[in-house]
Amino acid sequence: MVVQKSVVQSRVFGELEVNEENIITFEDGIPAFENLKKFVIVKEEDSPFLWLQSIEDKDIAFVIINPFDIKPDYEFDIGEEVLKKLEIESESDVAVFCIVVIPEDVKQTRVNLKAPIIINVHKRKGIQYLLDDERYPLRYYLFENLNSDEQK
Amino acid sequence: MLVLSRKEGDQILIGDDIIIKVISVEKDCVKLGIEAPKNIKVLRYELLQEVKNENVEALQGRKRLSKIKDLKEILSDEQV
Repeated sequence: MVVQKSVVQSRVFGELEVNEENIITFEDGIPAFENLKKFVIVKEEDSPFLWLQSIEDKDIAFVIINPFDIKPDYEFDIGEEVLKKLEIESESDVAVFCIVVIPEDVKQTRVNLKAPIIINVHKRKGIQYLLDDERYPLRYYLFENLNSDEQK
Repeated sequence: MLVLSRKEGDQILIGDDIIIKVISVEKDCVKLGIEAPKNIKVLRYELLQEVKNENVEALQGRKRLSKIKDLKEILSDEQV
């Protein structure tokens, strides 16, 4: 099989070489960026953080994190319409990430637990899924919660 | 926009299979029950707006990310 490679411009990484097979399609885009459908995940070295980089707009890159790294008891049900849309057949298809917001005052860094990114890693399809779940806030303050966990 | 007056217990049918029922009306709050097929997304409108705002704010450069990495180290140093 020939692996198609293309070079993508990115504000964060400069020139980024992308294997076509690693491109994840967000059919609905991401809220506020509905026109962008193609993303890749780029790992940060030695870090729990990753990037969700748009293929179509070099300026659009979100910092993401595996929510189970910061909140091991995170759980939710994936609605039927999403299972269908992402063609999810088993648990092993699924990867979950949450978008990280790093404000000017980095101590106030927060994670959006209310709207996780769900990816079918085999079909390379993704969605940002809005949970109407009171347990998980839109703004989960990372350091506040890290500290309180470690002090226990 | 279609505007309807409904009393407690009244229902509205949208399409063939979406039912909105007025459960209760109290002061400035209406409680609604919504019955829709599972493939139809039902969400509080403002939640989508909040997620959009948060996504716009999430666009940041690598500099800020390296700052929080430093911060993490500082935090873990403090714990030692």
